Amino acid sequence: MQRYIADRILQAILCILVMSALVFFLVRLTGDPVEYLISDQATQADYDRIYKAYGFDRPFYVQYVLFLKNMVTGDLGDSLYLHRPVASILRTRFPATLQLAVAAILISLVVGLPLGVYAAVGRGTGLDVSARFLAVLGQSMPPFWLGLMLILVFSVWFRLLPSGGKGGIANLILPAITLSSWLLAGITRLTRSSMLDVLGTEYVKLARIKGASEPKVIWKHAFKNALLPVVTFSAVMSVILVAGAVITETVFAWPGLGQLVIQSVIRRDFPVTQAVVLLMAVLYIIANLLVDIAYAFLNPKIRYSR
Amino acid sequence: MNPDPKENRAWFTKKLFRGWRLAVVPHVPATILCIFILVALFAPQLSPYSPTEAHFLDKLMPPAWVEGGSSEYILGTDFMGRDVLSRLIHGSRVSMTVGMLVIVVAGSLGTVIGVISGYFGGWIDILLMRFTDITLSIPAILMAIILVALFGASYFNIILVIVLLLWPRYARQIRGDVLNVKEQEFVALADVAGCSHIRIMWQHILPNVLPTILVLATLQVGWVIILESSLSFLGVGIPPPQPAWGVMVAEARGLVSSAWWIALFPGLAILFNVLSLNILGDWLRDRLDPKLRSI
Repeated sequence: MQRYIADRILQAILCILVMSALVFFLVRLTGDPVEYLISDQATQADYDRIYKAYGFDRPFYVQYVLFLKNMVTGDLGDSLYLHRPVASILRTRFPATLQLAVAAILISLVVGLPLGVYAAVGRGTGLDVSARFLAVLGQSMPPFWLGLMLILVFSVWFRLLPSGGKGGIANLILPAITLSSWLLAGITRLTRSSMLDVLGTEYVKLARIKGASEPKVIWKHAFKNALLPVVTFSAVMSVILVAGAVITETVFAWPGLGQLVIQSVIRRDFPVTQAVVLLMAVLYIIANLLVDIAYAFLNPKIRYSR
Repeated sequence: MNPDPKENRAWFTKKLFRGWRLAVVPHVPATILCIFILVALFAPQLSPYSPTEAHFLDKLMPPAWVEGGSSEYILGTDFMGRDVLSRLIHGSRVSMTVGMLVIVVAGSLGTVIGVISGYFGGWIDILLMRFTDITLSIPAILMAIILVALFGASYFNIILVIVLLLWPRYARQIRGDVLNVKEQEFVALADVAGCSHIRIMWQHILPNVLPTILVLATLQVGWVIILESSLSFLGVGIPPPQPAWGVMVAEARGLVSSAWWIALFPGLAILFNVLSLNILGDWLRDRLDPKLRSI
């Protein structure tokens, strides 16, 4: 098993390296940032000076090696537009996105798990049909439109909740619901199918025969065993949620990483763009790695190999 | 399964149409989808106005049934006085073409790579799958934003970008299927009979992974349509004034309190379209191959 885990870690590192190269070069191909930094009156000499000051005159691979070296030491460079260290910008933006994502994940788990469980228990009933419909609906709804419609209903018509910006809990409700729609649908769906599998097994039948109460059968015997695929799915999806917050943050003017990345792409602000994209990719790769390692521990076939 | 490719195909058809009764087909989504396809095909004939024609005297007219609405513009007009219904009708063309082209190109590319990777195994497999994994680990929306900023926003580039993000999903799934099919006797028999690699892959392996390809395609058209409209909404997709549904919702953003109809209808169009595709895809998956349930 050590070999399997070592192999997976190696693969993850390779993945991160390739990603960093890809992001580095792609981001640099999107346009010349110096043109966004200087005024119309600037002379060619000014241009050359700024070009040199940022090190853009060096060959790409030298810039890349420098970039890697700085990454490892935690120096993400300065934003070309905001003239502040990227690391400090990330520190102010990341908590906002995290707050939104955590709220969305909580909603998805609190609603999705029981809904999936009871849909499976009462297979074919009205609850099951509505849960399944809700799941398909959640995965078919364009998130930006759902956000706008929530604003229309709750902010414009009923004037109950603010339509955007960051502040108290009230500001968090609509964006969190918007962001959770997709994950909620996935969790409901997966919990239901996973529970259906477990409910058909011998040991659940045995628990019933031996006279365990229905809630005990459902929650203690079945649910505990049905949880594994749901947990791994949620782990990976939660990270994707952070990346997917771009749309929700745009709709609700939420000052997080998503908004930042859109603005920085438009302003050709390389250091910020590559830092955010890399951060997301690394998070995603690590989440996947952890899931694989967890599986290795849980799956005897891998655990006892070599 | 049978070594004769013709019978392979017959097996596939039988499985799809097994116990076929009209009642079994999900009527409603199938009908909705047919309507969308017809509307996309006959957009110029169906729409009352040109989708980009501005009537500045009739700006922000509400739908016909709302007070102040006019029967000239059944679903109202937008901030430039363009007919919402006409834009909606032409928008279905955009979504449908992007969806279908992406699925055809990404599906073919992913299938070829998945079949080659699974069939040959060894270092080809390792190389192709590492590459696939790396591509899969990129957060799709962020990469799409960067790529569109790089290539510029246009019809062609959107299709290209989504293809780049979608093919690995096919490659992964198809490779897994090929690994199973490869172990079956008829492949060994075909090899003994002297079939070339290409012939084995084309005649014996491909028909057996066809159900997977079909199910993935149906389920992912919806994903593609949502991604395309999201990118258009963010301003890095189909460039305005083209009547893409995502663009329409984006243009309505600031007006949602006064002119809700501009945002409502294109969103409903996306929802119904994708919902029908997903329900049909689920049905197809359960029908063809219940073990695919995890996708």
